[in-house]
Amino acid sequence: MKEKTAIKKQVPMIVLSALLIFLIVCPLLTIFAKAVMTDGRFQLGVVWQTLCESQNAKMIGNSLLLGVLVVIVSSVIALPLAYLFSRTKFAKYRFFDIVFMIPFMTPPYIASMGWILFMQKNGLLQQLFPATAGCENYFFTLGGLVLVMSLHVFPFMLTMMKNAMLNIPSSLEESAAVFGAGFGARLKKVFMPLLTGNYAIGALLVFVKTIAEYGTPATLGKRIGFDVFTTEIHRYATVAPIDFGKSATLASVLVGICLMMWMLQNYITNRHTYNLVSGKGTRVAQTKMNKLATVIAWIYIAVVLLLAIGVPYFSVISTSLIKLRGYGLQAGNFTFQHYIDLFTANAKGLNAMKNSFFLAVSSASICAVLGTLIVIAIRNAKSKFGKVLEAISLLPEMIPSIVLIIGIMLFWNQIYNVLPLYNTLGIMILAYVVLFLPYTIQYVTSAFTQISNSLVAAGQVFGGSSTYIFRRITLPLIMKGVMTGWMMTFIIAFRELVTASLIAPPNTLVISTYIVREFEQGSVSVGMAMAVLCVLFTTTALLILNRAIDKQKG
Amino acid sequence: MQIRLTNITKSFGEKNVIDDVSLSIDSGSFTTLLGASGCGKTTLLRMIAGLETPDTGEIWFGDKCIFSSEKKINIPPEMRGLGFVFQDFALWPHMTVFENVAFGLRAANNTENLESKVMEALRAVQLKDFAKRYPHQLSGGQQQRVAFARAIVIEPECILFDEPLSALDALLREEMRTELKELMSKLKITAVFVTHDQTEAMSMSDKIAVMHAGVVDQYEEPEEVYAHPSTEFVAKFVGSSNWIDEHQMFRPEKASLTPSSDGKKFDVEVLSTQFLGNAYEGKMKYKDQIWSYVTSSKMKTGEKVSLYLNEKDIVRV
Repeated sequence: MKEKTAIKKQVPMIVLSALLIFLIVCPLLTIFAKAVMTDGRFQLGVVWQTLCESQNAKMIGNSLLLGVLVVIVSSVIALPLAYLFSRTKFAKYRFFDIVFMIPFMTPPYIASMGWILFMQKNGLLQQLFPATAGCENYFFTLGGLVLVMSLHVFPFMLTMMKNAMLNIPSSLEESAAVFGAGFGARLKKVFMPLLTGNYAIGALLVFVKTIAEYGTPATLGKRIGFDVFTTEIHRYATVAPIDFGKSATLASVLVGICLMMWMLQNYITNRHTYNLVSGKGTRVAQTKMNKLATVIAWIYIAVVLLLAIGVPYFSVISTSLIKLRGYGLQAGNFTFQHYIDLFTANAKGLNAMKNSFFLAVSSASICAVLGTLIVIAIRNAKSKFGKVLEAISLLPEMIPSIVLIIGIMLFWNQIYNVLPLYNTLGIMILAYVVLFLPYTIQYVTSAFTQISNSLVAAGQVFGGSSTYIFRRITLPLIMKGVMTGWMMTFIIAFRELVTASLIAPPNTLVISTYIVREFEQGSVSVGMAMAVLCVLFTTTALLILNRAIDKQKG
Repeated sequence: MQIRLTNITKSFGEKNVIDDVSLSIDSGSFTTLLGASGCGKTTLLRMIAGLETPDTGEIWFGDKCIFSSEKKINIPPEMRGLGFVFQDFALWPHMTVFENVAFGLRAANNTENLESKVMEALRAVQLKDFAKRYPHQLSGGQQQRVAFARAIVIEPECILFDEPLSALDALLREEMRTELKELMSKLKITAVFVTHDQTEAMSMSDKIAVMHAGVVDQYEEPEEVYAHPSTEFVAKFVGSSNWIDEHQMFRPEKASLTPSSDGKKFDVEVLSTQFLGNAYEGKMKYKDQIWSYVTSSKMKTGEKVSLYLNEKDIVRV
């Protein structure tokens, strides 16, 4: 009888594992199969051939170079800020935490469109300052691409390094001072060695994010003919002559690079990070700053914010309001007409909004339910099975989304006869669910870890059955995690570009593809009006979420 | 309700946490499981509650068997009808004080006069004005009281306490000690109390079970445990002890500096003295043992003194 109940307990686990293998592992395996199989035969030679084609070799070099340069530039931007916001009087300005998340939360394709509008020939900068004519020659280069991508990704590095610096107790520095080390020596002997591990992890993550990024290379990179992994995978999969084999080969290589980076990241975390957080709470003393240093710091913060937020948002908003772009920024040349056109000129804009909203709500809801079930199954599993299930469910976060999407395309094409989901909105929901499932998993898991075991034990002792305990204690306590996961999924799905541009059914536009299409071959101003609305809507949603969470804390 | 444990064992992997423990807890008594951390006292308590499952043995509540490895009986915790006060209080943070206390009644569908029962329990712990608050809006001592109220409201025959006072500061701990003891004797509920604090154990208990390495070393009244420790561990763990040799010891306050007729004489050398406020505590050297002895006057380091002790005050273990 005992064995029977043991098997019965495993049923949900087995069902969920099978589902995840079907949704995540099968598409990935299809890619690898497609890469090494040509005309039904195993041919590794073709893979090598593809990689050796001069354009592909150059592209791989491009991607790696871009990754390295973005790591360097975003470090240069982020490290001084991290120090300012952790160990000087600037730490008290908590609102900067939110302000500096704006560049990271802005969809990269929108930010890079803003930069293009700002810097291009006769663009906004040259209208404001005619003397800057010719600047486009400097901007539409690899340097410009690196700058725009760094300005997007640096908040990530900033947050990581700021937290790492906050975790170094001042007592460590003070004891070094007591034993005779000056400021420079303390920085070199205590501060930096304690941070190397964290920095290495941050740098690796920025690298992976950069080579997996599609939005900026697809908009700005395209203008300067700088091909990278993501754009080439996209091209082979969408532009004639379509060659899924090559697309799959490049995707496999990209996955290989990313997984290697993750492994390296894991290794460094285990070997070179220090557990500095004690239960006693860490006291952080602040470095004193004189007037000059304070002024320089303010200027630095202002310049970074101007570049990271000011330029893209100024361009996007002003372009959406300009009547005739030929006349530029002049009094009387402003109008709300583009916003009205968005809704009235044709049904496309409204449909795109409807589609995005429908996709975001449905995928966020499915993720919330599925993700919560998975976390519960993982936590109830006593065997190694749970670890495997968790690893699979988090896989989509480690793999560039474009790769997973190609896999889903190939896999669902193969089984079209059995499950005709391909080319419908259904496949988009499915793809979003696969891509964004890790958000729910992570938020719900972290909510679970905050529930002390004795809260559940108390429920048992005071007579609650397991379903009663789940309903009255566990569920209310993880609800915050579930809601946060839902909202994050909603926001990110609402503006998702690469999935939509690859597997949206014909003639189905969502907000992101609508913006890109208007930007490239329609009315730039209408496209930017849509971008403004999209950012406004998602930011409001995020603020409401934050407010709701704060309120719950009481 | 009498609680009987017979031949309970439990091991986690290779380690024996509970090693053949048998214990009978009298109905209505206040019984303490005392021991250092890792001795198995909390595990034993959680077994009574049903939160841990013994490997072998039986547990009886009165004449009802609630666990037996042989007969394959294991009543789940929610059916045992006990009260439990957790070390970290374990108040549900998303429920008000009222709802926390009402949980046990609601879970058992015992909602008749719910409001008045809950308020009665809150009144007993002097918290009736705090019903609408959330746990995080209360101080540590108030949270502790809510945990008591939650345990008494279901009118259990027995309440289990897992180091409930250890999360409080010293002053509050002493206050709650008295309050808790009074409350329990007023309600006539059997109490099983786990602690590592010997003062707490001695001041509150009718009986103390001193545990060591998964075994109950001694199970008697506090006075007996102090005066006649049955093992070396109990002698050392409860109160302070001066050792004459490997098997003979005495409690420091039994010795005297003035000679008595039938007293044994011990010559010792003063190593150091410490001022305690109301007295001085001296560390003294006797052969290769270090003794402690409290006096009203200060002694010089290096001074040679004699201690006198009645034969009957020497304890052999």
